[in-house]
Amino acid sequence: MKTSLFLLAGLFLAGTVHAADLKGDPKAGKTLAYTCTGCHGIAEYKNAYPNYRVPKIAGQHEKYLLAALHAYKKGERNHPTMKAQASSFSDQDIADIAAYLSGLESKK
Amino acid sequence: MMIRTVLITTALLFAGNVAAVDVKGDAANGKKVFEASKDTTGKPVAACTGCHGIGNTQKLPDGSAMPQENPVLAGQYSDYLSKALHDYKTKKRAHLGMQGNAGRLSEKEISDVAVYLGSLKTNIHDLSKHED
Repeated sequence: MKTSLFLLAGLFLAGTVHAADLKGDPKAGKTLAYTCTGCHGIAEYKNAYPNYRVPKIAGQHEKYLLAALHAYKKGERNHPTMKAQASSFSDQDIADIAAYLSGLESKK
Repeated sequence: MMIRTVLITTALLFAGNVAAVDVKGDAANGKKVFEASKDTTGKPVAACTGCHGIGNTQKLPDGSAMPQENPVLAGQYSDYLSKALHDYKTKKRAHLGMQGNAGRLSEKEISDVAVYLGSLKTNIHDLSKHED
């Protein structure tokens, strides 16, 4: 009985920390991030409406990128294209993309 | 008539584009707002630098490294920063701290801060330099 409770608690914990603890693979992230270049890969590229330049995301902090992508996925941030993109990604995909983007050095 | 309408529409579209990119603001005042620890009534508040670091150093005022949860803002596009601040101000974007911080800023202060941050040398960039 005790053992199964421990097991249950263990499984529960494993489940909750899962998304935050996934280790991102920058190599896999690079492949996934190909889609991002459509908007984030053009300097000064403008979002159609409302009208503003699409943010620079290369070299951004990994944990912020994770938070942003999860917020889009959960619908807490409501840019339609980003919501659609993020909801198509698994938690592992998001971790991979964040690892890739945050590791990019400036090549000026 | 038709041609005229098209021309006017095109002009309006174009005007829209230019206006959005050109956030007009006073970078020197933006720096003050970004580093200020008092609001307009003189009440002490946390400065932006307390979470986002001083200038583009990624260092907090106490010398420690800025938390990785917080985005780098130095060198970000000014019109995106202005949009983000407005989204916090109008509570379209969730973040209690930022909703309060942006809510205290006037329209002019939002533009000034956005122009200041956009003018800084940066560690962030778009992906165009990474297509290989």
